[in-house]
Amino acid sequence: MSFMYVPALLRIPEVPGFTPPEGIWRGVGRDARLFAFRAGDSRWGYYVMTEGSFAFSLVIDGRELTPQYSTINGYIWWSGGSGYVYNSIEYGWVYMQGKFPGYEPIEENYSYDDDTGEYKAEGDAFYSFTSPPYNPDSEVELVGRGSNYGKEPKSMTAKWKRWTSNNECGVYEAQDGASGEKILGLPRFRSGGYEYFTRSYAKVKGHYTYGRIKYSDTYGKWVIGEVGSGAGWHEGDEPKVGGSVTFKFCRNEDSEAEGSDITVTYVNHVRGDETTKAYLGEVAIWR
Amino acid sequence: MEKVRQGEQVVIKASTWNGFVDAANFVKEARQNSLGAGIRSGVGGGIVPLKNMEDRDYPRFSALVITGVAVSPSANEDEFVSCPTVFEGQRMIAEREDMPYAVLLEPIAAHEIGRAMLLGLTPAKVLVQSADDQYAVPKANSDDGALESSETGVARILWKAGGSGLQWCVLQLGGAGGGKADERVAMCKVVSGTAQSGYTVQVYPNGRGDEGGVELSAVLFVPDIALDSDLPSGTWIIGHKALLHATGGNDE
Repeated sequence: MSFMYVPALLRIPEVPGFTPPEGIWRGVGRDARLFAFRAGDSRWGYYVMTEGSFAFSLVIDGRELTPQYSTINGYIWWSGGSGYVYNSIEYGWVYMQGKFPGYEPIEENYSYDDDTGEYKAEGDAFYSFTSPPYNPDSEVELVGRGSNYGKEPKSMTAKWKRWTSNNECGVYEAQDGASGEKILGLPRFRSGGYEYFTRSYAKVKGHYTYGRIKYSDTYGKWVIGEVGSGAGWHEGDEPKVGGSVTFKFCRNEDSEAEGSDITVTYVNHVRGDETTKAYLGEVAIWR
Repeated sequence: MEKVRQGEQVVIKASTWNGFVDAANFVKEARQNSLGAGIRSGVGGGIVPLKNMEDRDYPRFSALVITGVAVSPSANEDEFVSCPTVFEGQRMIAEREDMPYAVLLEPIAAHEIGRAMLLGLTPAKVLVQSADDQYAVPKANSDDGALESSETGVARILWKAGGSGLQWCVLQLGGAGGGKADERVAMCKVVSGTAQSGYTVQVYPNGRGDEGGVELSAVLFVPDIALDSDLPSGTWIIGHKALLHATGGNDE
């Protein structure tokens, strides 16, 4: 239904190749759980809207590992089934299964098999890699380590269910498994005389206002000006996104006031300049 | 005007004489100004000239925020101390919430100057939101300079008809500062929600021990918490009241 801009940084541990924004739009009401923010460049989309996630997921062997926002060695980590991707002290980024994330994997007893001509090692079965995928199209090779040493490498890609836009306000297009489209901002209309009519953030008595365009409860009409005014007024319909509406000039029967019709046409969505009150909570980090 | 030598006959033209008189008057006036003529000329009074800096006209009894003066001392010190200060007025927005404001005593067209009251008593239409509200403040983002009631502020409502809704009031502007204690920080109790969706909280402006007292339902976001760590309902949090920018979403 709407968004509020929270200027403070929602802190999460470091995400490789991604800088969290310093302020985010947070959905409220029907848009609760939606975040919109400036992702900074074209890799993930200049402006990104997500549903409950602040970073991309990883995909290994067709399994999606979702981001977890607590810290392991200063970075977020990913979890999917019994598999985890996290940053280890000894081997950097690792993928392993069946061990609690943060566990330091062991690789030992390197040997050379004369029969096969391959190097081997013992220890935990895990994979290491240099860094998670840097963008949606990149693929990262996972190299076998420990008892996986010398085995066929795995590949890892990134996935981020999201909606993206080149502009902060307007329509966000679905990406990576998201569906439909999302909207951020207030629709703005313009008359032929280049007067702008921006929709209000909230409804008053069940109706939005659009600058000078207001719904008259008394007369049950959308009007510009005051019905019955000696100078005349305009009557029309509620402006709709993507369309035009013409407000007809009206005057009292005994009036000689003159005026012309006003046609307002949808232009774009804008941030607007309205504010609303909310509370920002102060708590210790809760983990 | 030409100078004459010593002993030479002086013939003074009327225009020359008038020039002398004008010069004398200028010096006399300047001396008066330096002795406090600025006070007499209007500075210090409650009714001030106000320049409407917005692109739209504002009606009588609407409110504009004082955002500056038309002539600053650095621009013209003599004019600043000698002439009535012309204030610059703009509409109330979030960033100007704590700035002083004036009520227009006459309609002022866009970029024109008119009279406004900064200190004193004036009638004004106020949107009374609660019958208990004792103060009036300019409504943020109002295009017509509307006033709304508040629990705190500097414009005390001396009289109102009663109840809530838009109504005529008598305001005491300036010097009336007060109201309830600063409610920018209040104890909040989590009712529901998550770190991702934000929380609905009950606000206790008079402290945690005031259960059963004033309760407000509000939205609260926690900027510094891990995204996957939710606060259980019943958790007490210190909440900072903030004006957040708001915009539309997926409601069409």
